Amino acid sequence: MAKVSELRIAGMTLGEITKIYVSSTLGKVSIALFVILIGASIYAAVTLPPNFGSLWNNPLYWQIYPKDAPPAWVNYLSGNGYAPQVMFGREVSTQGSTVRFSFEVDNEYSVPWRDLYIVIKPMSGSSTFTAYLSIRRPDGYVITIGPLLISSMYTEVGTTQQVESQVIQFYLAKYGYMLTVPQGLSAVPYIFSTVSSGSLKPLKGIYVINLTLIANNPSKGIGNRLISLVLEGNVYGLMGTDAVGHDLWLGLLAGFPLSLEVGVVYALISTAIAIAVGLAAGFMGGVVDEVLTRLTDFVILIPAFVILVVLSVLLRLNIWQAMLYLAILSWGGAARIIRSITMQIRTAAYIELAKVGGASNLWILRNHALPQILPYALYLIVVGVPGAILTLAGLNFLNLAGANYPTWGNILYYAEQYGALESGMWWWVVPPGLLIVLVAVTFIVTALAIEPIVNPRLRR
Amino acid sequence: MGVPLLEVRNLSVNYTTMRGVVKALDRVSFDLDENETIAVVGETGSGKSTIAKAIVRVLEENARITGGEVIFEGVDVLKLSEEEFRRSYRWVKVAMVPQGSMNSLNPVLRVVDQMIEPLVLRGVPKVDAIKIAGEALESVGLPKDTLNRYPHQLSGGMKQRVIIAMAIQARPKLVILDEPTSALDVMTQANIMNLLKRLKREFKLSYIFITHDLALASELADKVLVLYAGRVAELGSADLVYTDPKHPYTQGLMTSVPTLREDKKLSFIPGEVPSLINPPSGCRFHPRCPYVMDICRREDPPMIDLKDGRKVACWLYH
Amino acid sequence: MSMLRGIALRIINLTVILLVVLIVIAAVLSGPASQVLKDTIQRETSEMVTTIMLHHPMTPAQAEQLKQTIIKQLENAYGLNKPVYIRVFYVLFNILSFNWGFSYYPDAYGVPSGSVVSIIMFALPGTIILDTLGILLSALIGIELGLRAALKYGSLYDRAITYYGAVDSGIPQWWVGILMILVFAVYLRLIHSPIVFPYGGIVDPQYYNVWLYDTAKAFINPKILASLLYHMVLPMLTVFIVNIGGWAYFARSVVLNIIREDYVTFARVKGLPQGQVVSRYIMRPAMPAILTSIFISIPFIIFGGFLLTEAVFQWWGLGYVLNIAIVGVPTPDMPVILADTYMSTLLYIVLVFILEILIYYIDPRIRESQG
Repeated sequence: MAKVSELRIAGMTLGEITKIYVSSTLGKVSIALFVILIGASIYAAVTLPPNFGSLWNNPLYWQIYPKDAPPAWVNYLSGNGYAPQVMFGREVSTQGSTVRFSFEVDNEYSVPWRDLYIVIKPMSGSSTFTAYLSIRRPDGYVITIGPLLISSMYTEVGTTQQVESQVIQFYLAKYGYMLTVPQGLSAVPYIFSTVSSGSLKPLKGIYVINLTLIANNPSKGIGNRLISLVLEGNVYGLMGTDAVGHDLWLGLLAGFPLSLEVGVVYALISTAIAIAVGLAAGFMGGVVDEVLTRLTDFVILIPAFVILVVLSVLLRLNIWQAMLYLAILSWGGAARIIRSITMQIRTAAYIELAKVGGASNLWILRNHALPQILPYALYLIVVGVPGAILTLAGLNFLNLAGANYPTWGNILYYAEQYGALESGMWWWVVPPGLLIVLVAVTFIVTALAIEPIVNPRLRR
Repeated sequence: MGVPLLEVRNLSVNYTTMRGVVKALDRVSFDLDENETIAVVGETGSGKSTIAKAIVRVLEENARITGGEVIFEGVDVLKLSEEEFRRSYRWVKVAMVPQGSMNSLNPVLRVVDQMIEPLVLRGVPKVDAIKIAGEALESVGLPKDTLNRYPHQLSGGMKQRVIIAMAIQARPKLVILDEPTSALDVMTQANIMNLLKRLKREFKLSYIFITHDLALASELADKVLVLYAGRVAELGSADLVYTDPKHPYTQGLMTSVPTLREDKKLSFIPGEVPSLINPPSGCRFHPRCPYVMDICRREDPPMIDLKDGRKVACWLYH
Repeated sequence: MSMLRGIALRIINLTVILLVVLIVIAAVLSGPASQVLKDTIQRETSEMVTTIMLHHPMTPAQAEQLKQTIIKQLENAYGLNKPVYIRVFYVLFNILSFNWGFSYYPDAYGVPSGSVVSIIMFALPGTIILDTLGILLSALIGIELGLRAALKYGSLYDRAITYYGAVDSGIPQWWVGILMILVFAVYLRLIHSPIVFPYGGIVDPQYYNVWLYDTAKAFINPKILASLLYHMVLPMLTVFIVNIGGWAYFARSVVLNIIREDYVTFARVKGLPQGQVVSRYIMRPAMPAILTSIFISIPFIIFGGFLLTEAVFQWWGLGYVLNIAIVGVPTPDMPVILADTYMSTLLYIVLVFILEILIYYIDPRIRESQG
């Protein structure tokens, strides 16, 4: 029994293999890419809350985020025109029934904030509040908004009828301008605009926002609350947001660990099946070979993706189940190759020698066949991962085989449904695919780097 | 005697590999007349095949001819363009039976298709070419229906004979045979050797016979070139070299060949073939030479002409 | 002669497997397939009874009873009341005799009758054009590029092709389609470019009638043909970008192995010109190996990607129809999904058939080892 340090695969020790691998450019690139992948996965696993999946699927959680917003760094490229997401918060702890806050914000943007939210945490069903807002503009005018009834954690201010009419009143009184707020849209942007030579223009400068909060049940008082004011921006975050307000950076991040896990497990399973079948068929020959070859032909003739689609629809598969079915359906090609390698080994001269020397079949299998198959098996595993990731992403694109967790394919599904493409929302549509490519390419580059070890003819 | 058919002058070839530059051949020179056989003898890695590939100009991508001339019928063929050489020499004046002929046949083409290719290429009508191919097969003792077979249906010996048939059907002046029998059993080997002798007589061929098997070479050779680590050790007529080897390496080779007749003690040459990336200084054989002298370590011995017409590269005879 | 016999045997072998595959699929899908059949029976019976009532007026109660009787008899006839293993064969028979039922949402496909057979058949030409043309052209171009790269081993060209080829198998084809639309349809329009490409579709909507019902005529009419080609640009480009690399990569690696073979050197020694060496001694032996290495990627990449690409471009093919049946309608449109699956499976098997026979024809060694 050879010691591990003397273990030789394809004629080289592990040490030599590692050295060759690291010295090649491909090897270095693949290691770098893996570092990125694993780093991102660990980061995702650590920073995302455990219940991220259900958070993601709860639209209420995302309502204060801007919708359809490009990433914040777009501002650097386009000259700082878009108002970013701004949030002010104060913790209060009082028995009194009234609190007043004052926030200051500098509007230096040509595209003003879209909406305003009042957020109160925690919020129980029994307590309600009344809120008043008075906003002092840089031109000295003051807009008063309210009273607003606060009965839930998030209260959106801009689209209420009352606020709308109050803003319209303001414009009429101060500018004699007949403002129309389009149906369903928020009146908040107009708070940050002005009329100049007959048309609407953004009003830049310092704004002071005063919030007055009154508890409707005086005997209960305000209590311990975190009170926030959120100005919904036009750009957000590292990767922007989608139609629901999802922070795409988080959604994309979440895809890393899932993709890696599913891909690797798939590769292990399907390669294991291929090796088992290929070895058995190639080594034992005869009836076993016949049967297994027919089985392999059969499996090859089944269109895995197509069948997977039907199964996913019928059985409502989740991503792990889909992966399992995929593994069961796609080992055919690899098994054929392993079978032919095994047959070559079996009929090689040195095997006859070993048999003459009294070696049992099992011994030959372990000491001759396996070490030669191993490099190729490793190669198969690495090559198998991208296939699974692409196929499963494709299923996710049809909103099938999902998990209670955002996946890249699924993000693209919603983009397609929403029409993000026609709206030119590149930040929604490009990054998910890019990440799929990144993960796939990592494994492909690794396979390329392994190739010279597996196929000695390619060694120079 | 006239002009020799082939003169190789100071041929040197380098290979560039991952591990460094391999000096595979260093100033190899020899002459070959018409209807003459020269045996090129040496161990594995001595550069024998490199000579063959250099003459036919099919060296690998990473090989460079760094010097020397190959003068065939008065023309230095190394200076010709690839196209010129291909058209006028390959399989017209010179043919090669490569090492490992088993693998030299295209697995997806029938024998006849592969045999008539060089003929049809040179304007022979297909029907005639097939006839010529059939006759060539008969010359080597194969039935005509071999034409319709695929290589994998033939045995090793049969494939070897097909290649030989292909070589002679072109009626070349020179045939280079690189280990033509090394993968065959003794009986087939004997048959092939007899065949080669007969063909040489019949078609007035010249052979360069490359082998590591001295006994085999002795059957055909008029001249012997002993190659060690890419350099010529000894060059001379077969009789002389076999009966009275001068170079210590040749002597070692001769004594390590078992013969049925004499009751000799078998000896072998201690040591290993040197690395050609970093060859030993001076004479490349000096680490293994029983007669090594100080000068052997320092300086590379020149080719010394002996009175009996031989050339030896050894300080012993300086 | 024996080669023809060999090919015939291969065909028989593959046909048998095709039947087995169909049986297994029928078995797996017999549940929903039976349901589809039940629904079809319901619908047809209703129509039947309505027609009968025109000639023989009856009370609603009588009509209902008549309907139930007919339904019961039909269900028996179709074996819906038999145990599973017998039902499978009825299902199989239905598949093979094109008795595919009706869509739950006929309006979604632009086919008024809702007959699934029609829906699928209308979609077939689109898929065949894009898939076969796409794969064929990609293969030809790709193999050519790969061969050239192998011959120039180590050069910049070779390395570029290698990296492109390797990365290529990791790119989702349908996502590239999305990118194409984003750049060449959306952005070009944004910058008011004179040349724009369509968002999708297979021909101009005004020609849909001709395309669906009289496809042959569509090819003869230059206007429709032009419209087809115009709409084909982006999808075909997508197919090229994503597939050529894979073919090039396989071809290159196979050719690299072959170049080192002794028979290639020997061909040169024989004085054959480079062109002949390449075609007869490199490419011909390479073809079976290239084709075989595709076998590993066929299950996912080649077929799945195409279906989704059609969906992205709304290219009227099996993938487009499947997409509608799954996400474009309120609940999964089972009849269409099932029939689409049968058809896709059939196409796929034909593709594999052709590959297997090609390999058999080209490589005489395979003929020996598999008889």
